[in-house]
Amino acid sequence: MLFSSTTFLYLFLPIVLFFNFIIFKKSRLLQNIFLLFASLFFYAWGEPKFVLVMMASIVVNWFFGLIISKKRDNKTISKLIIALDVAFNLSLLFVFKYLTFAGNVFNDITGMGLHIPSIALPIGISFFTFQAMSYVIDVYRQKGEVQTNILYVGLYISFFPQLIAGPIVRYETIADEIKNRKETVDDFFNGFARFVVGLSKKVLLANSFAILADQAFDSAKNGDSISVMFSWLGAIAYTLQIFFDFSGYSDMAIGLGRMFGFHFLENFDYPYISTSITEFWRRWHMSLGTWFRDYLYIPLGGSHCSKARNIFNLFVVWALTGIWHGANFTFLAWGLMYFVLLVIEKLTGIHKKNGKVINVFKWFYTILFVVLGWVLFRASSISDAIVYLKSMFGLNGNVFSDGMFTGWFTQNLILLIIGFVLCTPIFRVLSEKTKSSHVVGCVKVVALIGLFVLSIASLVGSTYNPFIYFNF
Amino acid sequence: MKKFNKNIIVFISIYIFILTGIFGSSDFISKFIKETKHYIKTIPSFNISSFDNFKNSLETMSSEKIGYHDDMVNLHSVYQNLLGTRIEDKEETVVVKSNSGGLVGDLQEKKFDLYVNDKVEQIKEYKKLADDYNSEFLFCKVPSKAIYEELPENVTDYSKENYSAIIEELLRENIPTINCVEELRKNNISYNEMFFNTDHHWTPYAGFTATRIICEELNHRYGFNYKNDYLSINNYDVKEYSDCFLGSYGKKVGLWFSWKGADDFELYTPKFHTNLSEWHNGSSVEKKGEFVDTCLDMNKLVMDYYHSNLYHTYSGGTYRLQIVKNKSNHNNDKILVIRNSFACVITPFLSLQAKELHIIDDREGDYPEGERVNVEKYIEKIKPNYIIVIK
Repeated sequence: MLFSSTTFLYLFLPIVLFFNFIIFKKSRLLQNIFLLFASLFFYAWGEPKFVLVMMASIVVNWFFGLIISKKRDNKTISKLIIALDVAFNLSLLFVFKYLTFAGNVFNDITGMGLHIPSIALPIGISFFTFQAMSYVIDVYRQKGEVQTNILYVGLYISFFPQLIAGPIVRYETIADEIKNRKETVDDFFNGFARFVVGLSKKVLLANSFAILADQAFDSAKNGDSISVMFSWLGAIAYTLQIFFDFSGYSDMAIGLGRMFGFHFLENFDYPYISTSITEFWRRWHMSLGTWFRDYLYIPLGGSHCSKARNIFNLFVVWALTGIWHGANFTFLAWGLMYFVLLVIEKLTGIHKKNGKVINVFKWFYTILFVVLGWVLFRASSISDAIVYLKSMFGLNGNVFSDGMFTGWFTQNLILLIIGFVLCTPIFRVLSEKTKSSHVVGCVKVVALIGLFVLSIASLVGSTYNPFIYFNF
Repeated sequence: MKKFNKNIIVFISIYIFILTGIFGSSDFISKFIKETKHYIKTIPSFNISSFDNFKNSLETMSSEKIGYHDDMVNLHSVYQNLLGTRIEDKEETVVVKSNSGGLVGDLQEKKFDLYVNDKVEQIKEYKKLADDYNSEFLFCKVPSKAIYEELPENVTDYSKENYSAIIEELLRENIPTINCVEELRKNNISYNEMFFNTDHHWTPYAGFTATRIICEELNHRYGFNYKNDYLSINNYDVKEYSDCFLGSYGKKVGLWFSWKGADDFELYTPKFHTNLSEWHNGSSVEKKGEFVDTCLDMNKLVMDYYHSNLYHTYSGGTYRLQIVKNKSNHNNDKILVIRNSFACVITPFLSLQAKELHIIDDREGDYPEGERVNVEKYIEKIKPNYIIVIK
């Protein structure tokens, strides 16, 4: 089930709110049990049989959490438990996400022609396995109380707001809130407003940019010669699509969490204003970046080691960051591209330099590589990515501009302008400056209601509502 | 004093809006209860397909059954129009807004000889059947809107090229053919008179004119005896219904995707006396009486943009087999029409020119409903004087 669907908005959410806040309001235990089953139902809506995979993950990680809380003082056993837990979760991820890919690569290299089963990918498996590992590790690190009640572990891992598209919620973030959260009126209504903002970003912006991006990428993939300008337009459209889609989903998740009294950390902070790749990864998908930093990079030694070791650590993290996004060489290449850029920044120190002119240059090279990186990310193969990238630089013998570019550009000009503006924190700045203004407050209310109604109109009026996280 | 949180108003307003959508619908709640009860009964059988059916029902219901569904489609169309959107891909149909604001779909891929040859071969097969059973043959190639419209630069369409190529090939094969594009041009019928703005079909006026062109061609080729008075617009009452017809494209993209809005609709009824009978597959009753009682279906003349199709007022729509008999005809001719939906606004007027008009829709797929008629066996059975293919 998607948040941006009438089923969720007209059926699931009203029913869940009713039961959680009215029927079960006097019992936290019943609320948590209800939310767990609602979350499992939410997940089963996509593919019922994969609920069993999630339930297996819940049971095993709960069990490991219990063991490690009892054996915490024994370093050897603790490390063994952590290793087993990580192995279990990564095995789950490997079997469902990477086995087919790995098998095909093996066959290509060896020519053995082994039969590789085609295994369907449970939606959100990358998110919930990382959350599950976070539970056991945070219990070990004593950053959160162990949950003896398996239902509470289940609720943490499967809670529907962040289940299928993140953010990756660390156990330590909400450990206390599972039993002791306080739902406040402000949190509820502000959370709902945040949800509406996220819904609008996804439905009104991301879905529209998706149409444009798909046109360009599909044309290139089908062997049509696309002009330089049209290929850039498609790449920029995808850059905007993925930001508004992903950050929109995060807004909805954070907003919904808040309504139920959970406070998830922010996941995006206007990443496209970054003036370095280092800064970009502190603003983009922050929950993933910090997860890899705290659970992999720092345990490997981080930057507190020799330069060579530091570069190795970065290589491991960025290779895995890339491959986490999907079982394809394109994702690996995308991750390694960032590894190379980050190492260059680290060695040259350019990301720390400041000045008006140099910041413009830094922003430009950052956004350039981000856009080019999204081409790699979007393409279905390395060869498709190369063809597309060559189109962007006129290396396919393609024309500079054509009717496809002028047509699609003029039809999307207003949306592009809105998209560019919303990539900047201009509304946040204006909001801060006018927060005491009653008139501005009223305008915001009307705007949010209007955006919601327009989002419903788009969901009903258009059949195009892509879900781009099927790789995750 | 704590500041009032204005987001409370946001929540309350939106939930009033949501509840209006649920309770403002005549059958949202009842359908939800019915589907849920039905699914609960199937739970003990652990049948995944019953869960899938339940899921699909709820997803369809939560979108299509909300009380203000049509208003939301209209609002979406306004939003897209304001943004400057010209192309909407909905339910596997790409609808494009032309430079003149007309809605165009059924765009055609690059012309391939295979496509042209395939179309011509189909027509030749019909001609062969006519020859085998001693019927006179005529093919009427209807135009598509895309031929006339100026499309945005990012849309490619080969309707014009494909149309010309098919006509050229048919003439080379000596297939008696009416080039409607050329003939309508000769009849000085303008594009605006020819096509609805929001639908892919041509107008009743274009259909009426095409009927006259067909009769004239049959007369020219085969000496077909037709009544010219019945093909003069002056002998018909024309009632115009303004802004009432939202055609197939308009239903997909919404009323205001083009600022032109809905189409006007004209109803032609003869001033002269007629005596006809009409039967179609799926009907247990043969209708008898005047033109308006037999060749028109006034039940379809319902002013509801999204839930009626005024175009089907003519002929009642498309049927696998329809037979119209003219009790007061001047000749003994039996005509078989093999059609697509463009014939809806031709066959009522053509029925006045023959003793019997048999109309077959042999298109593949589930539309129209009913079993496809075996065209050869039918020709063998009725032995028509003329076979006209209108596609």
